Amino acid sequence: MNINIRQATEQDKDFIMTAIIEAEKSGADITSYGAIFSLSGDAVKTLVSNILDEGIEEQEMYIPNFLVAEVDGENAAAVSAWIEGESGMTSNIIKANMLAYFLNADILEGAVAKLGLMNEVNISREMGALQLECIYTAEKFRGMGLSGQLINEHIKRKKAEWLSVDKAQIILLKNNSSALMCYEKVGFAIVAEKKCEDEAILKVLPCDTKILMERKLNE
Amino acid sequence: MQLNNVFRKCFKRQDITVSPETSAADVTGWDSLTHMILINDIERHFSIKFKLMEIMKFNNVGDMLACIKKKVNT
Repeated sequence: MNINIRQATEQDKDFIMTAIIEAEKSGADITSYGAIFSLSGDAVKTLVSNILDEGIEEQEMYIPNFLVAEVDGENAAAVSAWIEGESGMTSNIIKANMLAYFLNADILEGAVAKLGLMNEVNISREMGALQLECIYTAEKFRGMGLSGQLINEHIKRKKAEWLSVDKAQIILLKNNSSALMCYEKVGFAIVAEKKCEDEAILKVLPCDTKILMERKLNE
Repeated sequence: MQLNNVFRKCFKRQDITVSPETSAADVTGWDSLTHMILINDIERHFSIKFKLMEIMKFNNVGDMLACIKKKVNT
């Protein structure tokens, strides 16, 4: 079995879209974008495709930010990574800009209440920290440690490029126990959590609590 | 300034007064949610549509104002 890790290219767009959408679902039937903005599966695909086509850096939906793991020449897993706030703008604001651009006023206004709930579980990313997102392994390749290998490779590459980066962060839903165990295996620990007390959050996310995991990179 | 009215409506507060130097860090509650709504409210108020790369260059209210003026005068 030959495993190859490489940077994603435009040719990987379909696989990257699958990674983004499946990672966003966090085990639910629909993505958080679908739940918040009342978008169909096809509309979410169109939104993600449009965002990828814009090529906006410093957030997860940028193809060159992804590393892909191939197993015997087949795309098997992907992880996106970036340094938060490299240009001074947070990834949350960058994504808000893209959503404001691609979604019409009626969709945004219809989502205000749900976005308010999402704010209750929003954990701020630390400026200058390495962010890891859209961590996805295709079902038939699970259990091979591919996500961990991709995370470690991202860390190795970013540390070589950014000598000052001393921390990596992952934000996930608390009920994602398999992901949590995977990240603990590669040195991440829970450092914070945020819970939404309003049960209505469960109509938007499959869990009411998000957790922040960190790994120090200079130890 | 018309933009003050847009901010006050968006943030539901009458005490907001923005200047060209004002940025998200200066206004309580200016997060990603209100940012989306604010962009939308500005577009509606001035009957304009920003390009994505224009929005990405908004570091402060002054950047927004310059872009709005350019679009309104076109």
